[in-house]
Parts: sequence; C-alpha cells; structure tokens
Amino acid sequence: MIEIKNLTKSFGDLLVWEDVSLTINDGETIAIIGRSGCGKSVLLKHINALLVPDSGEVLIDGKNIFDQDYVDQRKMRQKFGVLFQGSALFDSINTFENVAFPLRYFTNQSEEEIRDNVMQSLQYVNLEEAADKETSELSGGMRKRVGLARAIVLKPEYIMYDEPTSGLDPKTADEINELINGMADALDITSIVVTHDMHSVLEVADKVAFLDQQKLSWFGSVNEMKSSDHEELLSFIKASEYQII
Amino acid sequence: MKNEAKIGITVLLAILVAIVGFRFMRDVPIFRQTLEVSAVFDRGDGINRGSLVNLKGVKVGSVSRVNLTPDNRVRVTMQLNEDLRIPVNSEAHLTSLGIVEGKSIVLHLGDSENIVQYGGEIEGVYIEGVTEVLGSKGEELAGDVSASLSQLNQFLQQLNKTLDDDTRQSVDQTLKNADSAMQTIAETLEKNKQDIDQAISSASRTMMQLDTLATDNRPRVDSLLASLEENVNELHKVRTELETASVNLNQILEKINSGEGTMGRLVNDPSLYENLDQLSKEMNELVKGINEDPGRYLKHMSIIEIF
Amino acid sequence: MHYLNELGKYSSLLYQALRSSTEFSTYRKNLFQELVKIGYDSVPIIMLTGVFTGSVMTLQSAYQLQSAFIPISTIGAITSESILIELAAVISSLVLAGKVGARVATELGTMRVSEQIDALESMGFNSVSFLVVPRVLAGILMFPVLYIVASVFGIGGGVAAGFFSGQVPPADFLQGARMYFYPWNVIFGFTKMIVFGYIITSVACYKGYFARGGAEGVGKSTTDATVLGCILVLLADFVLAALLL
Repeated sequence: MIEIKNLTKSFGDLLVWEDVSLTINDGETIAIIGRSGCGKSVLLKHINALLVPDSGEVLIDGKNIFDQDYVDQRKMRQKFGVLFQGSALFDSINTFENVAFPLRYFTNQSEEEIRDNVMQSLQYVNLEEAADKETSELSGGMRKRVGLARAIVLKPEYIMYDEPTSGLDPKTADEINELINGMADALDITSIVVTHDMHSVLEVADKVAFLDQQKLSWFGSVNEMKSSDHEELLSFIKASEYQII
Repeated sequence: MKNEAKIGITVLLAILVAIVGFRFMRDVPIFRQTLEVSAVFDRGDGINRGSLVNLKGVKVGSVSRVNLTPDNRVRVTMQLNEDLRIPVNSEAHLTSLGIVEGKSIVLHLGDSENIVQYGGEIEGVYIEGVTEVLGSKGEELAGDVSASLSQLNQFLQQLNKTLDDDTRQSVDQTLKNADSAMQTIAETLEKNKQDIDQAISSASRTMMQLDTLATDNRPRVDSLLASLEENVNELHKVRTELETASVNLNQILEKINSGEGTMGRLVNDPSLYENLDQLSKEMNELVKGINEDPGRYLKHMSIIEIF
Repeated sequence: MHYLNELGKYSSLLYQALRSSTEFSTYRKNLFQELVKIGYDSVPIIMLTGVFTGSVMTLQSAYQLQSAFIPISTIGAITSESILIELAAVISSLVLAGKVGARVATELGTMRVSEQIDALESMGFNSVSFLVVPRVLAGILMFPVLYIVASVFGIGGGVAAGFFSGQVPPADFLQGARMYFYPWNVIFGFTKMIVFGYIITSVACYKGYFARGGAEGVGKSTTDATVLGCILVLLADFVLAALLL
C-alpha cells in the first residue's frame, strides 16, 4: 500500500503542487491525470524517491521512503518497476541485455536463469523475436514494450507508467493499454499510470487522481468520475473526448 | 579483444616504456650491467649526473653520482661500458672539451696489468679550464696592468710638465741652431780650402825666387847659404809637414763632401733634420692629447681588466 | 551565489562518489570500459599530440638559439625538460578535455535527459557509483599512463624533428636531454596528470549528470565541461607549480 501524505514540491520559486494526499491500495490501478506541465510525472518520481519533496511523506507499506538511508531507499525502489516516458532504454546495449540488466546486477542468477527470465518478460510484451535487436532499431511502441519488460523482470510489487501511450498511434496505444491490463491481472500488480490520454484512463484505471491548479483537485473511482460535476475535470475530459473523436 | 586485455596491454606497455625511458634518460644502459668506477677529485665544478665519460674521444659511459667525501673532496661515480678494461693506475681527468662545452671526464689508461673491478677507484685529476685559469690569474694580471698603466700615466704627466711650451720651443731652437752651425762649418771649410791652396802655391814660388837669388850672389850667398841651408832644411821640413797637412785636410774635406761620417751625414742628409722636426711635433701632439683626455688612452687599456 | 551553489552541488556529487566508491561490484564492469575509452582509445591522439609538441618545440628552440656560444645540446635539454615538466601534461590534458571530457559530459547528459539515470536509480542502482565513480577513477588511473605516452613521443618527435631538419643531431639532443633530466620533473608531471585527470572527468561528470532540457541542454553541458575543464586544468597547473616547485 502506498500512502502519499501532504506532499508539497517546488522548483526554486515555482510551486508545482502542494498538500497532495493520496492512498493507493494493493491491486488497484490508479491513473493520475492533468494538463501538460501540471506535475504528474514529478509526483510519480516522488513515489519512489527519485525526487525529494519540500515537505510531506510517502509511506510504502507503512515506511516513509524519505526517512530511509540511501541503501534501504534503493531496496525499497526495487519494489517498483518504472516505464519511463521515453522508455529510457540503455542505448549502449541490445534489447536482451536491457532486460537482463537488473538481473545481472541484483541477482546471482546463472546465465541460464537470466535467459529464462528475460525471455519470459519479453513474452509478456510479445517481443521474444526482438531480443537480439539493437535498441536503435526498435520502433516507439516496441521500445515501450521493451521498457515494460525490463520494468517487470525483477518482479516488482508496483509498476509505474509515465505517459505509456504518448507518441503512439491509436492501435499501438491500445496494445499498450491491453498490456497494462494484462500485467495487472496476470502478475497481481498495483499500477500507477500517469497520462493525459482519457481513452487510456477509461481502458485501464480503477481510480483517477486529477491534478489541477497546483493541488490534487479531484480523486475518486472511474465510475464516480463519469458522474462527477467537478468543473475543471469535466472540461478536461471533454477536451480529451473531442481529441479522441 | 576484451577490455581487460586492452587495459592490460596499455598499462604494461606504458610501465615498460616508462622504465626504459627513465633508465635511458639517466643514461643507465637499459638492459646491460655496467662497470661502476669512481674517482675522487679535489673539486667537481661543472660535473653532474649525466656528464659524459670519454676515452680517447669516444664516449664510454656517464657520471651517475657526484657526492662529497668525508674529507671534503668530490667523489664522482661513473657507469662505464661493461666490457671496458681499465688498468688500476689509470687516471680520470675532470676537464672541459672546449671553451663553451660543459665539463666531462676523460680517462687516461695506465699500463698496469691489473684491471679495475666493479666499484673500483682510479686516480682523479682536476684540470683547470681556460676560463678558470683566466679567472684566477686574471686578478693578478689586471693588477699588474693597472699598475703599469698608472706608472705610464705618471710618466707621461711628468713628461708633459717638463715639456712645457717654452722648453719645447727651445729644444726646437737648439736643433735649428745645431743645423745652422753645421752649415757654417761646412761653408768655412769650403772657403779655407782655396786659401790653403793659395798659401801652398805662393810658398812654392818664394822658394824658386830664393834659388835664383842664391846663384847670383854666390859668396854672400855661400855664407848665406850656410845659414840658409839650415833654414831651408827647416823650411823643407815645414813644407813636407804642410804638404801632409794639406793632403790630410783634402782627404777630410773629400769625406765630408761625399757624406761619410757623422758630420757628412749631418751635412748631406736633410731627412734627418726633418725626422727630428716631425718627431718633436708628434710628441708635442701626443702629450697634448694625453693631457686633454687621459681616459681615452686608458679606456682601451682597461679591456684587459675584464679577465 | 550561483557559483557557490554550483560548487556545493559539485562537492556533494563528489562526496557521494567517494562514499560509494566502495561498491566496487557496481562499477567494476564500467570501470574497465572507461579505462579502455579514456586510456587505450586516447593513445593515438596523445601520440600525435606528443610528436607534434616535441617537434615544434625543437624547431622553435633551434630557431631561437642560433648562436655560436650556445651548445647545440641545449635544444635537447630545453625540449625534453619542457615536455616532461609541462607540455606532456598540459597539452595532452587540453586535448583530453576535448576528447574525454566532452564524451563523458555528452554520455551522462544524454542519459540524464532521456531518463536513463532515473531508470538506473529506479531499478535500485546507485547511479553515482555506477556512472561517476568509474569515469573519475579511470581518469585518475589513465592520465598518468597517457603522460608516459605523451612524454616518450614528445621527446621522440623532438629527436626526429632535429634530425630531419638537420639542425640537431640526435646524439647532441639526447646528451642535452640527459644532462638536465631530473626524476623530480617526471614525478611532478605524474602528479599533475593525476590532478588533471580528476579535474577533467569529475567536471564532465558533474556537468553531464546535472544536464537539463533535451538536446540543447546536453550540448550546453558538453561545452561547459570542455571549457571549464580547460580553464581548471590551467588553473591547477599554476597552483601545482606554485605549491610543488
């Protein structure tokens, strides 16, 4: 369980958001939505302590991740798999090695076991045939999927998606949405999806957190969202729907 | 090639090159053993590590260490080619090969049967270089020169004082007077020559008249003759004496005329006088010059003091 | 104030690097890679630099010492001593600030803006130990090796230039070089190179690690790393000369 309590962050004089509180229960899929530049990705990076807040805490299974020393913090980070916006594949090594990367450093697995685990991960994302390709040869959608395979190879409890469908064609975006759903069901994983793609939200999310005007403007289930009368949320959804059509 | 291998090769080669280069720069033979020989000198000016060791103009090694011995002499340790055979009574001369070259060690082989062993010692001789000799002797030399110069200076000053204008003029006058005196003597002698000739010929005529007179007045003459005879005899003597005197005089005059002897030269050679005149003028100028600017003459001399 | 901030950020990064330098298993592989990239791969350009430095030095001192009263071996002495004490270290370092510094800053900058550093952190890596430590360490270890290369090729180039131009016979050159060869100069050159290696790599890591804002940000960090590296090398050269000579 992830509990975000009274989190405030600013870069210099620029306030990103303040007093954000949010609870994510195990097994849920939460979508964090909002306009570009509202600090969705920044919030995501606080959950696994890639960024440090001005105030507030993030409790992972009851422990504040910012209170841990660096070694313990890194151990807690390994509970998370992260799919970054640009996939963040290491471009000096090929697809297989990208997925195998965490295994080589954080487990004592033999080459056999590594191979099995990597192929299993690639199988989840339907990319077994791309194992020997260089990362530069991969298309945008394939890169996302390789990033996802790498994110799950250490079998994390939580998985965080930063704009998983941005920059993809609708068909590929749908495939990614299916993967997110499949991953949550098959691995019984808690997912946090940062997106501004309402289609994706409706496909994958159980709950929705709406960041607007430098605060957590609205938080509730997808069904509640559909019947909500929150003005900014409605206008955001409306704008998105027009985009989809 | 694996990364580890590349690093290994790079580092290994670098270390190898560094060691070889280091030994090379310190002129220690890179792989060979050397013959270490030392020599003790009174002083070690200009010699340091890396200085060359020559044998008959060929480089056979280099100096590896220079240090003071407990008795304040200088021990120079050399690394020589290992196959060099140096008799024990050889000498090492610390010398310079040229004026501008640095110092180096030159080996002079002895004739002993015994060969110097590793770490052995041979006789060291310190040869003073040109510059050093000049350096040490220079001071004496400079002292001497400057003493001489000041003496010369004094002399010239005194000379200057003595030869003030009046004196110089009188010297001049004296020389001129001497000249005119010579001329007067010559003229007088020229005139007298005619007079003497006349005197001789008139004496001769008087003799002949006397002879005629004597024959005419025989009896008177006889007595007269008797008395005269004595006179004539005496006259005869006088005549011969006069004759010889006249010949001698002639000879003298002839010699003077032809320029023989001091008097002749004085009379006949005008350049002598001219030289004397010139000399006196130049002396005059020199003295005046030194008087006016003694530094100009001394400055050129002072170059010598540089040494 | 701005510079104090920068200095503080730099110092804390280096402190973090120092603290995590014990995690040898994390950066072992990267260290070898960097040793090759900084050391082995730089050998050709350092050879070239050395040869030209030495030959130019020889020709110019030969030109300046055209006098009957100066032994010709003086040219060798001047050239070899300048190379050992100054040129082999400083010229090489300026070249390496361009080659190594720019590459390191670009690599780290790209990893930063493409979120690869975040990806590493989120996997539980210590990104400083993984990226910064091996690069700085490789710089410290390999720069002295490159100093040897530069010195040897510098003096070699000097001998060659003297020989081919007909101005200095090799025997005279080497006699002069040996006459004024002091081991302390070599130790001094070594010390300088260790310091320069540290400066160039650490500055490049700092600039790259904190790069911001896409391709332009990476470009800026690269330029900054090169320029700042060169300036600091010259400054350190002065300080070391004042301290150690």
